[in-house]
Amino acid sequence: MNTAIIIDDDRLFQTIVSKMMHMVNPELKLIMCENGQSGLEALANIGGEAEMTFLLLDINMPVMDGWSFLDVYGSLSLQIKEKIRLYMVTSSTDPDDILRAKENPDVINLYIKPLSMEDIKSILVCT
Amino acid sequence: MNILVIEDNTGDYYLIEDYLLEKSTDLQLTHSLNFTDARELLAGSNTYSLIFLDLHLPELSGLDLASAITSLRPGTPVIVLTGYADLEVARSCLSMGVADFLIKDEINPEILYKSVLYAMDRDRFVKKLERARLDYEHVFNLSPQPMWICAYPSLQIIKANHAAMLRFGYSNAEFQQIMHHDLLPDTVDSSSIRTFSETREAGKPYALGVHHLITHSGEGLNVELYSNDLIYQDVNAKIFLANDITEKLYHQQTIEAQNTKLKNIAWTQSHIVRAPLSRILGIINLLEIQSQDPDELANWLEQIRASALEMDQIVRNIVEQTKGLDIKSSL
Repeated sequence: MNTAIIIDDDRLFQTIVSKMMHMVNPELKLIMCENGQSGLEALANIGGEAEMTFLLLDINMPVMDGWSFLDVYGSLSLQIKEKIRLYMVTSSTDPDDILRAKENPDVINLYIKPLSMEDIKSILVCT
Repeated sequence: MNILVIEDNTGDYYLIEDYLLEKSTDLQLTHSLNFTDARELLAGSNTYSLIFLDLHLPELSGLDLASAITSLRPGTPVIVLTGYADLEVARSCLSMGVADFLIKDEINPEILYKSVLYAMDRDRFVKKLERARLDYEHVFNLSPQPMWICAYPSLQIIKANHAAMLRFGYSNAEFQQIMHHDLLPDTVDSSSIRTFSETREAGKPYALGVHHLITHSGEGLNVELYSNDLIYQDVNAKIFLANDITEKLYHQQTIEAQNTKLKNIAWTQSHIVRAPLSRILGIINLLEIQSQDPDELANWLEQIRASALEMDQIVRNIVEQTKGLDIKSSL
């Protein structure tokens, strides 16, 4: 089963995105995390169960922000990462953030909030 | 040319007068018979280009007389007239600023006239030198930049100019009682000054960088310090120039503080304002895709309102922050 992990402290964003994702793929398993720390825990818990994991990562969050999450994520083994597709999502239009995200090899793309239906479809393109 | 002849012997006076007028007709001679008269004349407003002085007057004679006359009119050349008996005294007079001495028995028109010309020339030359000295002293004293001179390596302050006294609050006497490091505590071991002397050839002339200067009232100033080597009154010395940049630094800090605030506002625009805005847009995206039942629609509208109110508050905060960009309140 495919899984999507949404790491974002904005509950409303979580609700909107999960509704839209279910429109594209009603079978998708959704996991909500409020910060990078619980995102890492969720990632460890799903282990090898999922076929494909879509990770939506916000930048500004309490406890552990998106950049700190990426620091830890970068040290994970390729074996784990090959089944994960990581996207950054932010409400910021700060060019520094956009450039920094593009320079990170683990980040497939960065989306500026809000996500359109087309964005959701391109994120879940493999399903 | 006005010449005063102080001579109690009328015969001698006429001799001098004859000799002088023989060589030049452009002379006005004033005769004074004794010291008391001479003193009165010299205290008055008449100007004399030259004074002849007999070293023997009824009231006063010798060195005392010479010094009394020279001090009455400093700067006016005095030629002493004397006999063989007072040769030694006449010689001593020369060290007191007397221009020349003539022995009465040897005087002839030629010698007398030559002595007058010589005294006048010398006087012109000395006055020219004195003017040049004053000009250069003015360049130092009246410079609008605070400057002072220190003996080196003791760094005892020798002299400070008017701008230094005015800006730093020390009188000239107070300057001479403090050391260079009292003025600039961060150059206490004078090592920065010594290093400067050694590295001057390396292409960083004069500039000593920014230092902390303590004024007489204890106020701290930030000054750009410049220095150069010189010989002053026969001793090794350094001349310093301090450029007060306290005000400039203050404005720079103000601008930096404002920059930080502006950056914060820009960051807020990018990160905080867009958060509720993107939420509102996200809800609209969702509502367009899927028609909702009335209960759910009311819920979404309430969410839109909450996000809009949040945005409103953020914008108000930015306006508050912008008000704080006033120069005074930002520091």
